[in-house]
Amino acid sequence: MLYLVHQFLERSARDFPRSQALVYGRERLSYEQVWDGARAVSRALMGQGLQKGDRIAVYLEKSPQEIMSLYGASLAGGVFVILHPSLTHTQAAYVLRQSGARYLLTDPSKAGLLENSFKSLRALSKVLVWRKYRLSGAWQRKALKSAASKAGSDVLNGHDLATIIYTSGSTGQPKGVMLTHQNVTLSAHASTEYLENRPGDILMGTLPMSFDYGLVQLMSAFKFGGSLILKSFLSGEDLMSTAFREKVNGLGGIPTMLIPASESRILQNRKFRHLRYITNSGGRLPVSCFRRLQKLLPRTQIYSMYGFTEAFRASYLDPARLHARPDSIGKAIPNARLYVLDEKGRECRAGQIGELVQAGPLVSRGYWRDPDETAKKIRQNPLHDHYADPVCYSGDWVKKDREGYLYFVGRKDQMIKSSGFRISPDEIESVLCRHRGVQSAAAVGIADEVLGQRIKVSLVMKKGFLRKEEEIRRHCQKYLPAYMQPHGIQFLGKMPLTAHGKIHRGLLAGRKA
Amino acid sequence: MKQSAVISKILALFKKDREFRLPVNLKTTTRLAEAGVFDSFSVIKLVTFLEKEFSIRIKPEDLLEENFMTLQAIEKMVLKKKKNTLRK
Repeated sequence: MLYLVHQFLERSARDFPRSQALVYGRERLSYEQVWDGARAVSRALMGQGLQKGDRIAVYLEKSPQEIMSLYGASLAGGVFVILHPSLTHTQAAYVLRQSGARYLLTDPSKAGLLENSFKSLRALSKVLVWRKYRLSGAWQRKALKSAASKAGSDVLNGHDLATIIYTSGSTGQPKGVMLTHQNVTLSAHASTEYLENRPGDILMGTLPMSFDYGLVQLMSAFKFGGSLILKSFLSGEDLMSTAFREKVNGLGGIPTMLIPASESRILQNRKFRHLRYITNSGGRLPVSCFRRLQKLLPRTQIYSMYGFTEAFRASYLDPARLHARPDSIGKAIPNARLYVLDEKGRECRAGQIGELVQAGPLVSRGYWRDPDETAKKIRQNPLHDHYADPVCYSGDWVKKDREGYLYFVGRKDQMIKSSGFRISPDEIESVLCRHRGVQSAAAVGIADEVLGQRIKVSLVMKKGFLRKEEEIRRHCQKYLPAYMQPHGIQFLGKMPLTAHGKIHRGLLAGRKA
Repeated sequence: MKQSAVISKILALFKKDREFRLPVNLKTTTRLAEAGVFDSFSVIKLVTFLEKEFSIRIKPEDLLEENFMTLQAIEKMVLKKKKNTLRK
C-alpha cells in the first residue's frame, strides 16, 4: 500500500522508467527523469539541514521544475506550499510569512522580485533557484548553522502533512489548508477509480497545482503511470488544438476554460477519438455548454465534479446521469461520506436545503496556524458521539433528491438576503446564462437599508451582442420570480477573476451599479 | 536583450498597461502565459493591440500557444502576417 505522495512517482519510475510522464511544450520527460529531478531536490534540501515538517515554498511557473520541486520536498520529509505563479509579490510574501517557509524554490526572475523581503521573513533560511534543470543557491541567512538533517521520507507516515494549499478567498487573506499524505493519496486513488484511468493515459493539466483538482490530476497521473501536459490556459481554441494534437484522453477544466473550449472551431472540424472524458469542477457549467459538448463530442463522457479544499474533493456525477440531472453535483466519491445537515445538526429530508458536511479520510487538518477558523470548519460529527469522527463543514448550501443526488444551491456566505428571501446567486446566474447573448453572469448582494440586500447583476456579453438592459430585464421577468429580479444590471468587458479562475465576487460587490 | 521593432512595441504595451505583469529580466524566450505576463483575458487586449499597430488580422484560430508562447513567437507571427497582407 502506497500512502506517501512521492511513492506514486517512485513506483512509476520503477515500473515505467521510460514512459512519458510530463509534456511541456516540445519537451518530453520520462518518469526516470522526473524521479531523478525530485531526488536532486531532496538531496539539496537535506544538505541544507531540512527537518521533518519544514515548509518548502515552491514559487515557479507551471513547469517540470515545479513538479520535481514538490515531489522532492515530499521525499525529503518536508511540507510543500505551492505559490500560484501570478501572485503579486505582496501576496507571495504573505504566504511565505504565514506558512513560516524555511526554504523557497523559485526562478531567478521571481527571486529578484522578492529579494527585498527575504531578510524580514524570519523563518526563511535558504532560497534555491532553478536555471534550466540545475538548482543552485541564491540567498541564505547569514547566521545559518547547517545542522545535520534528520528528515527523509522514512520518518513519515500517512498522517503527516504533505502540503498546505492556500485558498484564494474572495475576501480577506488566503488561508492555508493542511493536507496530509493520506488526504492527497486517497483522493488520487478515488479519482483514478471512478475515471477508470489506466497506464499511458494522457491528461491535460491546465489547472494550477495550487488548485485542489489541479494537484489531484497530477497525483492521479503519476499513480497510474500516465502523463500530464503542463500548460497554461490561453484560449479555448488553443486548449482543444493541444488536446487534439497530443491525443489527450482526459481533460480537466473549470467553467472559464470549458465554455470557450466548447465554442472552439476545431471541435466542429475534427473528431476527438482519444478524448475519453472531460471533467468540470470549480463551479457550475451552464446546461447549454454541457449539451454543446455532448453533441460535438458524442464519445466523450462528461463528469461534473464538486469539492472543496478543506476536505480534499467530495462528489461527482456519473456521466450516464448527466442527461436526466444536468444540474446535479452527483454523489460522494469513494472514500467520502456526505451529509446534508440543518442548522441544528440533523439530517435534512429530501428536497430540504442544508449545509453539505463531509466525513471520512479526505477531511483535512484545518487551517495552518489558525485554530479558531479550524474549530469552525472541522468539528465532531453531530450525528453521533461514539468515537472521534471529525467532519468538515463545507459552507455550501445543497439539497438532496429522493435518489440521493446532490444539488448545489449556493455559498453560505454568498447567499443574498433580499426582502426577507434567501436567494442563491447561482439560481439567478443560471437563468441569465440561458440568454443567448450572455457569456458569463454573476449576481451579488449589496447592503440596502430597505431590502436588506439589493441584487446586483454583472454581465459579460458574447461578441456581437449589444448591451441591452431592457432585453435582460425582460428575460429575467420571464424566468425569475419577482423577489429575484435584479435591482442593478452592469455590463463588463470581462469578469474579474481570482487567481484560480473563479469569479471575484468581493470585487463585484464593491463596485457600484 | 536584442530588441526588434515588434518586440519593443509589445514591451511598451506591457509596461504601460497594468493588466500585463512584467517580470524582471524578461527574455524573448520566456514563456509568457506560464510566467503570468498575460492570461486568457488580457491576451485579447494584446491581440487588439497587434491588429491595430501592425494592420494585420488575427483570427480566433490563431490564438494558439505556438503563436503566443514567447516574444519571439509573437514577432514571428506578426512578421509572417504582415508579409501576407503586403502580398495581397
